[in-house]
Amino acid sequence: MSKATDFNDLAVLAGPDAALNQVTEALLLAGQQAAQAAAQGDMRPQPEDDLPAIVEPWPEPVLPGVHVTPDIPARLLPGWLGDMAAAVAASTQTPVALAVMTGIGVLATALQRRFKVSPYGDAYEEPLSIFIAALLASGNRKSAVFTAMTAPVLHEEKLVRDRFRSRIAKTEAQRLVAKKRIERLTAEASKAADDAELSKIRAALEAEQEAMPDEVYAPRLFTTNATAEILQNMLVEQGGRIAIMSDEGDVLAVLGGLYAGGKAALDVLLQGHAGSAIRVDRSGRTAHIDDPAVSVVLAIQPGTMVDLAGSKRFRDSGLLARFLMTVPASNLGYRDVRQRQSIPADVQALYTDKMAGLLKGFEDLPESPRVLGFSDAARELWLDASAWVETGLRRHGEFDGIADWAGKLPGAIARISGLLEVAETGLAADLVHEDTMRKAIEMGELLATHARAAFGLIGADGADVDAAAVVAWVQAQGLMEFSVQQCRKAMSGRFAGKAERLEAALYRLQTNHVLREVERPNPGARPSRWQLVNPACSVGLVGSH
Amino acid sequence: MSAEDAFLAYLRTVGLEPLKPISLPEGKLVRYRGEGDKPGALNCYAVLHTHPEAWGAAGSWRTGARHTWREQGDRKRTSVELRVLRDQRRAAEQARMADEQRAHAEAQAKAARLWGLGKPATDAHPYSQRKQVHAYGLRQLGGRLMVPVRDAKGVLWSLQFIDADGTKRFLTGGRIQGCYCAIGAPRDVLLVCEGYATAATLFEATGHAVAAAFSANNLGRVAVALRVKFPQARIVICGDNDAHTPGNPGRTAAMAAAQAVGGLWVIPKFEEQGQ
Repeated sequence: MSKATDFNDLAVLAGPDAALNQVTEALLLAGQQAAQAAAQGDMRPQPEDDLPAIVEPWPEPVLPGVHVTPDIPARLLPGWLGDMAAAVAASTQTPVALAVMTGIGVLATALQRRFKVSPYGDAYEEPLSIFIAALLASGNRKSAVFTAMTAPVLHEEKLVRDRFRSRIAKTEAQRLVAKKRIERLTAEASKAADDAELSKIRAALEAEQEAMPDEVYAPRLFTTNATAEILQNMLVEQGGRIAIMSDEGDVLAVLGGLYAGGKAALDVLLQGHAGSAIRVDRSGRTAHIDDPAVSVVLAIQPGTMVDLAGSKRFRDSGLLARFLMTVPASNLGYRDVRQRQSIPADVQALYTDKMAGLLKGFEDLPESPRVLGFSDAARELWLDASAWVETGLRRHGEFDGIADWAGKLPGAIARISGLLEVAETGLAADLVHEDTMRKAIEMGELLATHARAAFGLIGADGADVDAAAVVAWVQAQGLMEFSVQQCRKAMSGRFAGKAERLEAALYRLQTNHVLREVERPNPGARPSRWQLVNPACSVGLVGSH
Repeated sequence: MSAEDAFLAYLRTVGLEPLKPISLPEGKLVRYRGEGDKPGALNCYAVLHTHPEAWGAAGSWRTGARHTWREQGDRKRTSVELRVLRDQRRAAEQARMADEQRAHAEAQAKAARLWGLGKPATDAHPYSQRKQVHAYGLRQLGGRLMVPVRDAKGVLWSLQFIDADGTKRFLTGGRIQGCYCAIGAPRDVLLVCEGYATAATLFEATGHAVAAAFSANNLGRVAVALRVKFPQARIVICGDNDAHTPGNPGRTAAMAAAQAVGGLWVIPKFEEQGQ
């Protein structure tokens, strides 16, 4: 027999029991190691060099582009609003997150420009404007949710519009008469016989112009579609406040410049979200809006957002980062078609009543918004949350890749807390309390997970896109493992001179259990970094012929 | 020296020298018989490009070797040349893959035909006698044992022939990667080893299902295929103990395969090795 090397040789030399004993011994040892490791809370036993070892099992990998998002529970909303959101979700068999975030959007529509929050009680203030986009594929009953949640806004708007109808008509008549008089006086002025007559006509003209009443517009809370320019006009007409609420994505395409030769005019949205002053020159009139407030509430298909994410201006301007995007898990295919659950009448009635209370007097905007402070406990919680976000912004932190979005998260949490507080306490609210802040922070944490999913979904998360490319390469090559150098060389088209991007992609894949990094010694040189591939991700290769 | 001569000289240095003179038309994949190939077998391949710069790729289906060659030069390549080179490499890789698939398909058809011609093997075969193992699911054609090479779906891709003296060879061009010969019904434990005789021994000794991966290099791929097919199984890689070979490749491959699938590895300990 040549030199003995395998278990057959062992069995021939020492009998079949020798092979059985050694394999069994290895299995027993592995069991002991696992038990010992579990008892010590360490899943990575450190075997002696020449002893068989178990290796930590691979967890389920999360491939790039695949994101599991949590639901956003209705309990985070004030009782009456949460009950309505839960009832709408149950009735339409849609994810609760869709109704919850639409509810937040409805609150922002009703309360923006009327309230602000001031975390420190000083000059730093956050308006209550919110940009929300729920991304759900077609057929998920987005419109049904939208219709149910926005109904009170439509109703109150209509009531006020009806009340304004006679006032508008009266003012219009006065303006019409004044215009005609001015026209007549202008004609007479051109024919004036002497200076005395001209002075008399000029004085009459000035009097007419001063007496002409200002144009009165029907108060509106929202529009479903508008270009940036029309939105600007509406802001002027509506005292600096307007919301865009739509269950169609057209509005984003329009705002993205569909009717402006592809040139996006997004300043009005950015300023409206930030509450920074707008100066508008239109039709010979200069309008100043010192506290503009624009909210956007959308329930759209992911493809629409993908199109917009492709716009450099959309992302570079920071507009994309302002959206609180949710990617609710679709119920499609799992809905009970026999189930018909109506929204309970008492829940519906309370919701309508409470919203009517919040919308009371919405047409008379105050000179400046009412400012809500934070209680000491609420401020501490908010600062804790801000510190958590700050840490996550570091390289390889929780928000690596979506830093522009996460940078605005503390502000978003402050805004949400203000909305929740007014919804809970009423229009007399003056302080954001601890309980409210707790809910706002929990919502912010959930929204962060959704944001990562959304940015990955729309291809705006660079690390995710790079990670997907690495996985595609691994699968195409049928690799079980590879060195970082090998990957860098093979994907030089993508990563040449961009080592940081490759590192970020590898790190993302490691945290998602797709890769596992190990070091292999190189005699006389630095150890090589190797990436082991989760077998579940190599499926594309195994048996693919 | 022309680019073709330089490339052929390089092939000699990496053990892929053609046994007969070959010509290498620009950008066309050529198959030829290399050193160690049996008569009639075209296991080696080569492709040569000369524009915008001379480079070539070559390999052997039999050994799995793959090499690329580039004429040395200091000239900096333009972006257009780089694009052309990239396209050439992509085309060469596609040609290689197409050729590989064609070779796999040819071997698969041949394997099916020979497998059909064979008869169930008995334990009387000299190899089984010498290794003291049964012939589990093997067939015999003439004096040769035929070991089926199947993928995880059970598709037959190739055959391993074992002569009476223990000489082993595979069908030319047949797919081996990720394929194995299975013995026993899988339960909670799956053993993976290199050769058929080892697999039969382990099955007889332990009663666990065993997959013979045919080589150390294939252990990992087979382990991955089994992990995908049996996610909950405890996979034990029963490697060879090549203690007399520098680096102990059997042990190294077993460790790597176990690491890839979160499994366990074990190698035999022999008294005379003091292990």
